[in-house]
Amino acid sequence: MEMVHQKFEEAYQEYAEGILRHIYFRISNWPIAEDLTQETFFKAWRSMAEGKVAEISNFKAFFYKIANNLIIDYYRGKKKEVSLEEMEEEAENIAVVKAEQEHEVDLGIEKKKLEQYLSELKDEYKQVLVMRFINDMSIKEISQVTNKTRGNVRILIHRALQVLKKKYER
Amino acid sequence: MKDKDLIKNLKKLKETPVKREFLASLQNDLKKYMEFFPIRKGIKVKVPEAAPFFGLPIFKVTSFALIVILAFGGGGAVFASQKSLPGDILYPIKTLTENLEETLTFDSQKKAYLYTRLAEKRIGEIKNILEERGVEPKGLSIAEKRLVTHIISAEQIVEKELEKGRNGEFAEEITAKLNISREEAKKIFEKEEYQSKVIEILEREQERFEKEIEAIEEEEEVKEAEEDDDSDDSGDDEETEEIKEAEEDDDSSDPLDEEELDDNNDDNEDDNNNSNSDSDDD
Repeated sequence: MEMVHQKFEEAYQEYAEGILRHIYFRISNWPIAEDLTQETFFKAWRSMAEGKVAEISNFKAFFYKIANNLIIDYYRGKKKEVSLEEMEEEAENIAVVKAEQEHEVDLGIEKKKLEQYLSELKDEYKQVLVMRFINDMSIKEISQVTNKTRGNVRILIHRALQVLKKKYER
Repeated sequence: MKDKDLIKNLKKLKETPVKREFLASLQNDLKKYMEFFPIRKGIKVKVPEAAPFFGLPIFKVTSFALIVILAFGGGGAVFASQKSLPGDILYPIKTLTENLEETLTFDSQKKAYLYTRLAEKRIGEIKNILEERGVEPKGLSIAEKRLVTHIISAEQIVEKELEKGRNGEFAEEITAKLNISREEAKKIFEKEEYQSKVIEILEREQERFEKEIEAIEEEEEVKEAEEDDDSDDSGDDEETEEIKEAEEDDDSSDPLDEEELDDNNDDNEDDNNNSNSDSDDD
C-alpha cells in the first residue's frame, strides 16, 4: 500500500509542473489553471483509491487524460454561462497579466506575441502543440492521451503550425 | 517564418515560470487527501464483477468477523452486532453484513437507496460515539470514512443513471436524502464542537456532484450547440472530413503532410534530445 503512495507522490513531483503549464497554455488563466491542476491530481488519486483503474502503467498519460477532460469541461461550462462577475474577474486577470508582461519586456515581445497567437487557436490545435513542443511529449504519448491515431496527431500538429504561421503573416 | 523557427519559439515557452509555492502546497494537500482516501479494496464498493463470496477483498477484511460469527453461532451475533459502534469487537460483523447486503443488491437504484440508509446509520453511530466517548473518540474516523464512502457511492449511481437517461424521481429522491444526511452530520459536529474534515470533504463533494449533474443534464444542449457551430464553419468541416479519412487508413494517409511533418520532427530531434524516439517509429 505504501508503495502506491510513494509512486504517486513521485509521479506528482515529476509531472505536476508540466501539467500546470499545459493547462495554463490551454486556458490562458493562471488561477484557474492552478485549480484544475489540483483537481487533476485529486481526481487521479480518487479513481485509484476507488479501484476505477485496475492498474496504471503510465502515470503521465493518466494525468494528462484527466487534465484534458477537465479542460474540456471547463470550456463547456464557460460556453454556458459567463456571468458579469466572471467577466469582471477575467478583465482583472488580464490586467494583472498585462502588468506582469510589461514588467518583463526583456523576456521578449516575440514570446508574448506567440503566447497570444497560441491562445487564439482552437483548443484542438492548442492541445497538440502544447503537448508536443512545450510538454515534450512524443507523438505516441499524445495519441494515447487524445485517443487519436498517430497519423491523425501528426496531421493536427502540422495544421496547427500552419495556422499559427498565418497569424504571424497577418 | 519557417516551421523550424516557429517550433523553436514554441519550445521557448517551456521556460514560462510557474508558481513553486503553489506546487509545494498542493503536494501537501495531496498527501492529506491520500490519507483520507486510502486505497482499500474491502471498503470500496465498486462491485459488479466481484463474486459475492469468493471476492477476496471482502473476505480478507472481515475474516475475523467470520470467525466470530462461527464462534457465536451465527444469527445471534449478527443481531447483537447491529448496535455495536466502530471500535467494538462486534462491529466488524456489522460491516460484514452490510457489505454482503451491498454485494447482493444488484439493482443499482436499490443500491443507491441502500447507501442512503447506510449513511443514516453512520450518522447515528457518529452521534453516539461523540456522546459516549467524549473528546478523543475511538472509532470515529472509521464511521466518518464509511459515511463519505456511502454518500459518494450513492452519488455515483445517480450520475450513472442520469447518464443512461434514467432520470425521474429516483435522482431527486436520492439527492434529497443525501442532502438531509449531510445537514444532519453537520449539525451533530457543530453541536459537539468537534472539528471534522468530513464536513469539508462532503461539501466539496456535494459541489462536485451538483456540477456533474448539471453537466450531464445540459450536455445534450451543448452537443446541439456544437453541431450548429460546426455547420456555420465550412472550413472546419473540411478538416474534420480529412481527419476522418486519416483515421480510416491511419498513418499511411496524406503523404505530403506526413513528409513535411517528418521534417519538423527531425528538426526537433536536433534541438532537443529528450524528444521521444517513438515519434519517428512510423
